[in-house]
Order: sequence, then structure tokens, then C-alpha cells
Amino acid sequence: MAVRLLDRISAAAAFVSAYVAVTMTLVMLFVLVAQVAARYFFGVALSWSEELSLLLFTWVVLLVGSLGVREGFHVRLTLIPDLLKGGPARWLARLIYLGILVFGVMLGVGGYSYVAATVGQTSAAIAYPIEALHLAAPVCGALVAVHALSRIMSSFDPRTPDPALVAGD
Amino acid sequence: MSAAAWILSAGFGGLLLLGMPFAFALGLATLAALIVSDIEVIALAQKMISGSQSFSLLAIPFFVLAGDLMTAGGLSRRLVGVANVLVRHVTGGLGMVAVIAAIFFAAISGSAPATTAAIGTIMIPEMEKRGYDRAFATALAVSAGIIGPLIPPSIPFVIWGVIAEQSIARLFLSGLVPGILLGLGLMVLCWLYARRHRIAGEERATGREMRQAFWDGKWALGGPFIILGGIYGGIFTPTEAAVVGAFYALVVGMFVHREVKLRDLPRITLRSLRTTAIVMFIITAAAGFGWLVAFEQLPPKIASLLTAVSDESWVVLLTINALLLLIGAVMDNVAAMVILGGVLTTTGNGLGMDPIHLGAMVTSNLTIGMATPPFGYALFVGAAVSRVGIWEISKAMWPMLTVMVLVLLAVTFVPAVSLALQGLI
Repeated sequence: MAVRLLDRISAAAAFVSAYVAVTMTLVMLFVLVAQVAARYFFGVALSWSEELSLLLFTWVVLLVGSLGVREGFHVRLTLIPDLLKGGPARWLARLIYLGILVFGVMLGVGGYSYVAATVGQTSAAIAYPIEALHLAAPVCGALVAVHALSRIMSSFDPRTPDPALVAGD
Repeated sequence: MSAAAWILSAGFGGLLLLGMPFAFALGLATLAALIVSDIEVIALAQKMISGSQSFSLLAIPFFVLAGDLMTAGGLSRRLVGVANVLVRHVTGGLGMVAVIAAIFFAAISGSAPATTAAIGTIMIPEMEKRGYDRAFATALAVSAGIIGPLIPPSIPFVIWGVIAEQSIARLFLSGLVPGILLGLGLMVLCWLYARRHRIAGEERATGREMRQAFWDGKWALGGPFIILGGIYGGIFTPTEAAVVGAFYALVVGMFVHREVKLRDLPRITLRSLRTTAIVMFIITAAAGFGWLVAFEQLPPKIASLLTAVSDESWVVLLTINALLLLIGAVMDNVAAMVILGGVLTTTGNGLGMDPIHLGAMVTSNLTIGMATPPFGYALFVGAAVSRVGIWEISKAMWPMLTVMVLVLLAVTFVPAVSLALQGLI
């Protein structure tokens, strides 16, 4: 039961991350096209477009990066994993996800402290609250941890399909 | 060596061998090194955020998106159409079509796997139909993919520019001659192959066919002029060029060719974002790693080992290239760049190399790694497109790899190959 629930949470988080990131990317695209057009056609240098795009970029990278844990698209060397079969292969995969889980938790904890330590500061040009940027770290850490934990738990339950095998388009 | 230095070298290597993804191996090694060095783990989060706050790196998602939109919007197919009427009648012409189309495509996109996918999907079946061996056709598409990051614009040059703090526009330009040399070398291979296997050229295109292909391909051919003209005409930065390129491909695909629908956009964008995240997550995770490596003063130590190989700088350069080819074969090229960036720039300075020349050498070298087994993205993409096994493609790759190494030697030992055009900007 807990395994299925965790898998659903991981799937929902992945879906939301993906579409938030797509929206952010399209916003970046139009903002930066506007920046070029404003300068080239009207001679106006926008003061906010680069900073806004960079804020969105950090979020996009960290959100889609976390999605990669669920979908298994992060690149790795498979020389040793390919030599193993059955039980040892599964345990090695669990060990790897455990490492990723530790990374996620530490990024979450470290990221939270980072947000707490810098709260109240603002960005240089637009003066948006800096938490809007720094929150990306703990959110990414939490998402990485959820996806990694879900992968580990699901590996013990033969009924949950491996999203890495069904992902992609 | 300190405990942190051991973690950053042997520990990191061990994680990679076990099959830990590059990005997380970098992150975990950084984490462990922070802990043993008594530095707060807050630094990991801080470096990951600051590692992604680079306007230059923002070019990456848009160069990837531009490539994906070109393929979805039928621009790639029309580029192949133009290449087709130009050279199909020559012996080995169909293979040359793939190479020339890759050169056109490379002038808008800057990614090796994207170039291989775009060209391979269209040309591998076509070449097989006309008597080329499937493995040869795939190996050619994989090798033509390597032209993608050499001819400007280029994702690896963006990354090296950020690491080495050099002008990205200049680095782009340094890859143009090597990219064209590689293209010419591959075309010679096509000619030799076709002669040996007695594959005749196709019928020469008529004037009417020529006009038709160029007319169909006019929007696709306009892309490079906008992007490269924009960068070198001083109208926009490389990042803006990437954005304009993606926007251009979107507008042409949606409103001119009408092959991209609004509802396809999220799917195409998400596909590009996956590719981007693979690269960018490594870069952000490596930001803390690179900081610690510098803190441990590893780059000057390793650089002095490298320069101590010989008093002759050509021997040192040959050694570095051999090492990088080996590293590129087993490691992700971006990870290799960010990890070795400090060592390579220190060594290059020690040898008195022009930084743009060094960038051209390192980037061409590690880009070749994308086509070499066992770990090469372009190779994986080629295998996925043609469904030929990695080893079978690798066996067919030897002539192409030889050409690549010859180009690399030219880049390394003839500075003019990368620097001759620098006077233009």
C-alpha cells in the first residue's frame, strides 16, 4: 500500500515538475525574444529579462534534473551493472538509488539552511525576494529524495512498473 | 593526498564504476569531501544554484530546442533535400548528402546527438535502400553528428567558454575549419566506400529539381544566416542567438511548413528539456566539485605532472590528447570538461598555448568521445535510430575515427586551423 502511494506521489510530482518546467521554458523563450526585439527594433535594453530568465533557468534545470531520477535518463557508465544479472543487479540498482536518496536528503537539508540563511535578500535588478531562487535547491532535493525512495520501494514490489522503462515519447 | 582529495578522485571514480549517474557521483563526492573537510553542507546547495546562474549556459536549452523544432518542423528534411540535389550524382553521393546535410544542420544546432538523430533518421534507411551496409550508414550518421558541435554554434564550446572564461563567439569560430575538414574527410570515405562496393551515384538532379529543392529549403537555409549573421554581425549574444534560432524554427515549423501543432509544443519542449537536464545537472552538481578540487589545489599538481612528461611541448600535447581520448571514451564529455577544466587551462598556460587554440583542441577531442565506444551519446543515438548494435557500429567506425583523429592532430599542431578565422571578429 505504502509502495503504491509513494509511487503515485512520485508520479504526480514528476508530472507537475515536467509541465511547470515546460511553461517556464516557453516563458524564457518569449521573454528573451522580446529582449532581442526590444533592443534591435526599438533600441530599448530591458533591465529585467535576463534576471527573470536566469531565475526560471535554475528552476527548470533542477526540476527536470529531479525528473531524471524517476525516468532514469541521467547518463551513467553501465560496464559493471551490465555484467550482473538477477539479484545482484537489483541490489546494485537499489544501492545506487540509496546514494541518490542520500544526495537528495542532504541537498534538501542544506538547501533549507541556505534559504533560511539568505531570507530577506533581494535580487540585483528586479529585486525579487532571493528565496524565489534559493528555494529551488531544497525543492529539488526533496523531489530527488521522493523519486529515489519510490524507486527503491517499487523494486521490492513486482506490480509497480519501472517508469524508466515506460518514460519518454 | 588529503582525505578530501582521495574522495574527489578515487571515491568519485568508484561511484562511476558502480554505475552511479555522473551528476550524482559528482554530488555525492562533493558532499563527502565537504563533510571530511568540515565545511557546512549548505555549500552544496549554494554551489548548485550559482552553477546554473549563467546567462551563457542558458544557450544550451535553446540550442537543443532549436534542433528538436527543426526536425519536428520539417526543416531538417528540407536541408537533406538541398544536399541531395547538390551531390547525389557523385560516386558515394548519398553518403555525402548525409555529411552536407549535417553541415547545414550544424549551423543552427550545436549538438552531436541531435545532428545524428536528425540526419540518421532520414539518411540511414535511404542509404541502406541504395546498397550501403546498415552499419556503415549508421557509423556515418554518428560521425556526421560530430560535425554538429564543431561548426558554430556549439553546446560544448559554450560549456568550455564558461569553464575557461573565454569568448564563446571566438571559440565557436575556432571550430569552423575543423568541422569542415571533418566533413571533407568523411566525404572522401564515402567515395572510397562506394567505389569499393560498386555503388553508383544517383541520377544528376535537373535544373528544375535543383530550383525546387532550394525553394523548399529556403527557410531552413535561412536559419544559419540569422544565427551566425546575428552573432558575428554583433546583433546578439550566443545565448540570444540560440533563443532566436529556436523561435525561428518554431515559427517556420508552425506557420510556414505547418508541421508543428501548438499541442505538440509541450512534448517537444519536454524532450529538449530532458536532453538539457542531462547536461546541466552535471554542470550544477560539478560546481561544488570544481570548487573543492581547486581548494585542494589539485589542478596545478596534476598540471605539473603532465608538463613533466617531456621537455618537448609536442610530446606533452600528444600525451594530453591521448589521455583525453581515453577519458572521453569512458566518460561523459561535459563531466570530463568540468572536472578537468582547471588542469587543462593550467597546463595550456604552462605551455604558452593560445586559450582559444586550447579550447578548440580540448573541445574537438572530447567531442570525438561522443562517437567512441563504450560511452558515446551520438553512438547510442545512432544505434537507437538504426537498431544496429553498438559494437557492430563501432567496428564500422574505424575509418571515420581515423579521420577524426587526423583532424584532431591538425587542430593540435597547426594553430592556424583553429585561429586563422579569428581575425574576422
